[in-house]
Amino acid sequence: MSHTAVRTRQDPDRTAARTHAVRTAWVRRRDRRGFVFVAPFIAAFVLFILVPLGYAIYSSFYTTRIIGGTVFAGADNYRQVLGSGQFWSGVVRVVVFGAIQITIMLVIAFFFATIFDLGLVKFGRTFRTIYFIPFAVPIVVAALMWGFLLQPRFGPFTRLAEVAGFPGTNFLSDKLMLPSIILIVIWEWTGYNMIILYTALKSVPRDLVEAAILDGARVWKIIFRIKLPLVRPAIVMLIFLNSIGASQLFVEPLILNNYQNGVITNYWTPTYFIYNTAVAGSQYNLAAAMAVILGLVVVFISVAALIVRRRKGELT
Amino acid sequence: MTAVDLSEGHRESRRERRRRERQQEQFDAIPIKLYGLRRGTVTGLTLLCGLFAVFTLIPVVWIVINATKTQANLFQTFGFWFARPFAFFSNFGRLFQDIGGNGTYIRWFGNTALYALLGGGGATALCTMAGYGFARYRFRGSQALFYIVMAALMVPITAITFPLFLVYTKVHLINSIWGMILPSLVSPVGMYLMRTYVQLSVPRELIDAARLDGAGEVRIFFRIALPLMVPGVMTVLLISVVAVWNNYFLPLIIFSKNDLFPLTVGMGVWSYAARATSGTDVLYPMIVIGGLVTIVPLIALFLLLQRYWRGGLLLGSIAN
Amino acid sequence: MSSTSRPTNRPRPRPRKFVYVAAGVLALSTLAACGGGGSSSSGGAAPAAGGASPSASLVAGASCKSSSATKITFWAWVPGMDRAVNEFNKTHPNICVTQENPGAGLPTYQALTNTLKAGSGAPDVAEVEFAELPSFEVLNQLVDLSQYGANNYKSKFVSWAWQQVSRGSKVLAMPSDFGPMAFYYNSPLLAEHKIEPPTTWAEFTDAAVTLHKADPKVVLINFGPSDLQWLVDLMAQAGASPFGYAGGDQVKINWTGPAQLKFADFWQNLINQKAVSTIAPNSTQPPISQDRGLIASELASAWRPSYFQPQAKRSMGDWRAAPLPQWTAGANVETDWGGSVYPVFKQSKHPAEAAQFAEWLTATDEAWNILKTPPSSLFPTYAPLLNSAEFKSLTYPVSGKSKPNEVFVDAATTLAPVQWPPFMVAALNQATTTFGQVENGKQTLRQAFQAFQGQMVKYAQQQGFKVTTS
Repeated sequence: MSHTAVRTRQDPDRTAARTHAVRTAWVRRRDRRGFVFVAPFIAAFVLFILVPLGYAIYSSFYTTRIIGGTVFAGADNYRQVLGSGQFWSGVVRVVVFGAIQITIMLVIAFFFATIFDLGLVKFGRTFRTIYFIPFAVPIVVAALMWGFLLQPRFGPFTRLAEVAGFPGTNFLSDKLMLPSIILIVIWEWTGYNMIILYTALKSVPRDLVEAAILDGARVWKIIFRIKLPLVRPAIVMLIFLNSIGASQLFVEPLILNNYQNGVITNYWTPTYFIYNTAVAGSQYNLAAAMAVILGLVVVFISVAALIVRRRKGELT
Repeated sequence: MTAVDLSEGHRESRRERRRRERQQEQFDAIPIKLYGLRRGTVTGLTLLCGLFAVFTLIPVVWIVINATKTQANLFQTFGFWFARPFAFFSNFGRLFQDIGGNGTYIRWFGNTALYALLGGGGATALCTMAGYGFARYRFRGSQALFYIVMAALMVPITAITFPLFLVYTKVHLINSIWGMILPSLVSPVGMYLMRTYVQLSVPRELIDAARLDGAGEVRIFFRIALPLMVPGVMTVLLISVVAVWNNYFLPLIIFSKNDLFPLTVGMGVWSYAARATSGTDVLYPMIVIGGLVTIVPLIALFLLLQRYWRGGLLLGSIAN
Repeated sequence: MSSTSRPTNRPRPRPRKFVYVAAGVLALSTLAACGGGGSSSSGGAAPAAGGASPSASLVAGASCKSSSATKITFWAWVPGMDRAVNEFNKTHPNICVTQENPGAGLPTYQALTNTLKAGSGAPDVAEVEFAELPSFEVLNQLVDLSQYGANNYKSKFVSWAWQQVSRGSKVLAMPSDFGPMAFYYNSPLLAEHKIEPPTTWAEFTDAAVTLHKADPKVVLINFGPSDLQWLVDLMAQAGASPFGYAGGDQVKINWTGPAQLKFADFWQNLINQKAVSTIAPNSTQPPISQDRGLIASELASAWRPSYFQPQAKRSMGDWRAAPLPQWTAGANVETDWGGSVYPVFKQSKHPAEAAQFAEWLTATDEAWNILKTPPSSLFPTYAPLLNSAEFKSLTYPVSGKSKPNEVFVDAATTLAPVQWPPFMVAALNQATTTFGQVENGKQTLRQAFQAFQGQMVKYAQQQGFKVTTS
């Protein structure tokens, strides 16, 4: 149907009115149909997330003992978790971990994404593919590999450090465990973040950049004044998703614990603490309370970040 | 613009397509001189990229080299060079055997593929439908529902897995592959990405027009919306498959039969058994070669599917 | 919204081919989703409700002749155990045992605890270590095997083993293998420094100090207290057993008595002098260091020669066994490290058949003829085999022409009694953290003992136990 055909038959205003009438009719009828599309997802969501979550919250108010069975505990479990220095030391550790790891990773990812986007390197396509490879490595396998590489005394990295003039380096010692895990996580996720940023940068309209160049803008200005603001939403989303990932740091400590005792304490990260409390300690109810509190901490930090951004007027 | 003939009926070969894309990329790129940079910059930056590539490839190179070693050599020879005897084939052959009753690698591989295909594929289907539903329909409670799903992103997985286990014992999903697959169907991130993608790539006008033409909603979804959503679907498929492939906690708890294990749990059990038995079963080389065989097909798959999901990753960039 | 406001980054339309691929994938996965029983459509829930894995039936069908046979589920991780199961099924057509393996040690205990608490899904029989038996006893989940004639087999076992699995006339499990300990050493290395295998712990200290002084790269032994079983077994030899449990709701926890602290100070002295290393005991390092001559000995159990062998390269043939050093000169107190028992669980619908299997597996020549050979290579609590001349004279390439079993078998007769807490998994987990601090150099063993005492008492009280501390 051509544009002119419409115009000759009816005047614009009446067309709009009619479309509106049709729309409201659709809205009513669409109600159910929309839900049909959403329903399977919601059903699975309720069954496999909400129901177990509800059960976890419910059971966090009870306590099950080997001798004496299950009794109502009120807020006892919560009191115990809130007063547990070990739990909060884990929370602080993942916050520190997240702050350092996410910053370094995003800087590296943004740097490479930018130079690929500007075409400042040869073989960009090959490099992008290589950088993405770790995404294909399951985290358990990645942690096992890095455990071999970094293990004290006989790990190849340890021996390289020895050759480089740092004898007796222990990458999994008290001091270096967190940096080592940061290194591993950066290895795992930088490529993925880089690709997302690269695609975002690519979508910045070319004419904007061309206009800036004609105005005599230098490359730094193009990157930080034009491109960066336009990909900020992508960065914000990456920060959010990476933070949630960081708050659930678990597999890497679990695997690396095999190579060095005493460094990864059983409360090293909150999720690892929850796992140990529930699985090894059989204190399932206490673990449930920990999980609820951890969830609340994450929600609290997210909401706080949201409010700050809204204050700054960055959020529409 | 480009030299390639895109006239109707001409099906371009892979090589032609590649060339066209490369040319397009070169054409799109703004000459370096215009940025006011020197030629040497490119060499320097390329070297830097090379360095990071080396960092990325180190574990991969290590695993390739060490998959050829015996258990003694694995620990006693330098990690970045080969050693005699060359044990790759004997290690590889053992992937098809039950190692000391701890389980058979190839079986776990098949399980993982099955769980990833059904779980990841199913999750993609649910996400695609739900993302479309949330993006293009308004019904009572749709906003609230959406935000509830988003909030669930922040719930620690550990919080859900144990109660799930207790529920499973009541409905006989322990040691059932469905116990693994069904929870994998829920992917709040996937749904969110899909919704964003629909908002951007499926114009309302198109749907309204189709309605005026009398098309049913299901038909509109399959014939009009879905074709536009393909890159998004591919991305969500990729993300959900990787999520299932990576899942460690749930299968660890719900499976006690090692012929149901996915690779992650199987290799974890090997790792544990290797320590518990101080390596009697010669499990360490199995962990290494198992790791290699786990990642090779995934990497291959990613490279093959690259052009389908690359575009879809865009959706990460527009979200807000 | 007009079409021009569409974002400029909208992806280019893809060729049609991929649409079909995507649609195919979607269609396939939608089918899968429905098959999962998520929807209420008819028949959708069937596969989920069945819950049977095709593989399980396959395994059972493969080794059982009769389909009407009583089905027994059996969890075990011992390598090569499947051979014994097949043999049993062949010779007992009315019973069909299916073996499953959730993973060595911890994964099995977790799965057991979970299924026992959940009320379904537990096996009929399972492999459990000696140290873990009280943890299942306290759950009141073990079938008393005396009602199925277990006491008839009492005389077939080493008395220490029977003591461990019985409470009076009640039998909690059938004992299988164990691991009397010995001083297992690199003989050319010690000879090079003119050190004899120490017969007392005082001599042991001298040997350690002398060796380390002679060659600072080398230590006599690696001391890894985060391996709680090993630690408690050595404490038992010193008469300083830190746990006491005899069933019921009472548990003794004593890590801070004089005997315990004396034990702690003994080892701390060696740590202070750097005459022993403190490497994570379960890591890959100790065996490598041993093979390279950096660690000269270990306090090893009877299964060690066959376990160490695959990792030995340079030191192949050099390793010898000698009796453990003694706290009192001339005494003969030995101790056990590890070993497995086979209880029957109350969830079992066929406890008689399950007991019959457990008894056959642990107390017959047929079973042991299989289990004594590699890859199982179990060290038997079954006396007829243990005391046979053939078993004592076994040789291992890693130990050259020597016969280590002579030492280990001798030790089996004078084992110190040891008791385990009824919450062993929790204790093990806590121990990795607490004693890891010693391996890490952050705490002394004495400090760790004191910390562990507090942690264990607190845990036991939280779990409703009555705790005594002496």
